[in-house]
Amino acid sequence: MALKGILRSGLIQLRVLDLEESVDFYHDRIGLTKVGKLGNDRFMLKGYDEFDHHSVVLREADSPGIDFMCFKALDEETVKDVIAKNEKFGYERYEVTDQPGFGTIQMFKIANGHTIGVYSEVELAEQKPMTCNPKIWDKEPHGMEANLFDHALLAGPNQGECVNWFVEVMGMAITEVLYTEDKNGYICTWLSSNTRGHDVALLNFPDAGKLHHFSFQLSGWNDIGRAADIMARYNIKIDAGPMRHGVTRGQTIYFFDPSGNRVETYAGGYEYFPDAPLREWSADRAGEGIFYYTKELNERFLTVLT
Amino acid sequence: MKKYIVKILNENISVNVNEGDHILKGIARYNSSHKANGCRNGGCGVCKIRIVSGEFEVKKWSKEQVSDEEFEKGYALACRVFPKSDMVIEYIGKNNKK
Repeated sequence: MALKGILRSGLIQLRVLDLEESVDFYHDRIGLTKVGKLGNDRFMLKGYDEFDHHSVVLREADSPGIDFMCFKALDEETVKDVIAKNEKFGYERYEVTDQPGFGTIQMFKIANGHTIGVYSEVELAEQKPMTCNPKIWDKEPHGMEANLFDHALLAGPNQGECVNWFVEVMGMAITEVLYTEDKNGYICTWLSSNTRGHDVALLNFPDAGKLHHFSFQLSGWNDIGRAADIMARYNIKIDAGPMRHGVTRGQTIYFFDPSGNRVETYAGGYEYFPDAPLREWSADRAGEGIFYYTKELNERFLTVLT
Repeated sequence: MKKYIVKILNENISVNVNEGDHILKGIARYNSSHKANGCRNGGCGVCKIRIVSGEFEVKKWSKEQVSDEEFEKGYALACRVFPKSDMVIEYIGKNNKK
């Protein structure tokens, strides 16, 4: 077994202002596959290159943002281990059983106001990558051709404690950090459970439970360009890019969904291995860490969250 | 194309807003780095305004940013307000909850 414990970020539930408009946006423009309705107020989607039942749930609500983000564990032993290790932190835990195709999801309310889930059982999707003499796809992808749900940047207070929870309870690794000016704390921390540069990043922010962005993986730089062409054609509001991050080296565009949630199309980046040294950024070089080419942070990047 | 003039009282500027456009589009055309230029889709609240006068239509926005009670008092998000006449507004922004 190449990878054990927590395998990857695998499921996110987002709040949107208009469900029908949002389903069209994530299907037609980003290129997700429709999986189906979930009750009257939710809709399930997935990337064309994902095996699991679904990875994105949109929920119609009065305010946009994130309900929860969940991680796939290799096995039930890992889930039990997470539950046991959470005792030290004492974070409230509850079970969710209403995601079709998924077994029980253990949810933890962590100290930055976010809800993080862990599950080990999920059915294969109806539309999934081929496995027998596989073509690169069964049916050609559309829109921005998003492969899969990649990562999220979660904002909230108590970042240090939450980073410790991801490391000690979830067994994840810190890949990069951005220090505060006095170097006694962290503005942002990037964490990985596999060979990605990050599965989740935590941003220190006074308001709890805020979503800075969540991200879909595209295949490469050419696909980022094509995504930008689609954004231009359909007047999708671009926040920044096409560009590269210094952190993770990912190539990227930030843009906004119809409810104002910041979405990212992300490609490339280095491969992380557990023996890699920590990559560190000082506060005065934060602009280069995020906007590698222009090197300047803009106010919108730091203040616009849902 | 029909245009409306939207006066921003506390910034002492007036911007042109085309028929069918939201107020923020006019503000961003005047100054693309204006602090109000956020998600443009009713989610983040950085374009919060108080409407002093004028006729307009609105689209759905985040009630965390502008509650129904606040809307009754004239508060709104510039990215979701579509002028139907010349208007007068104040720019409030996200962190100035009056």
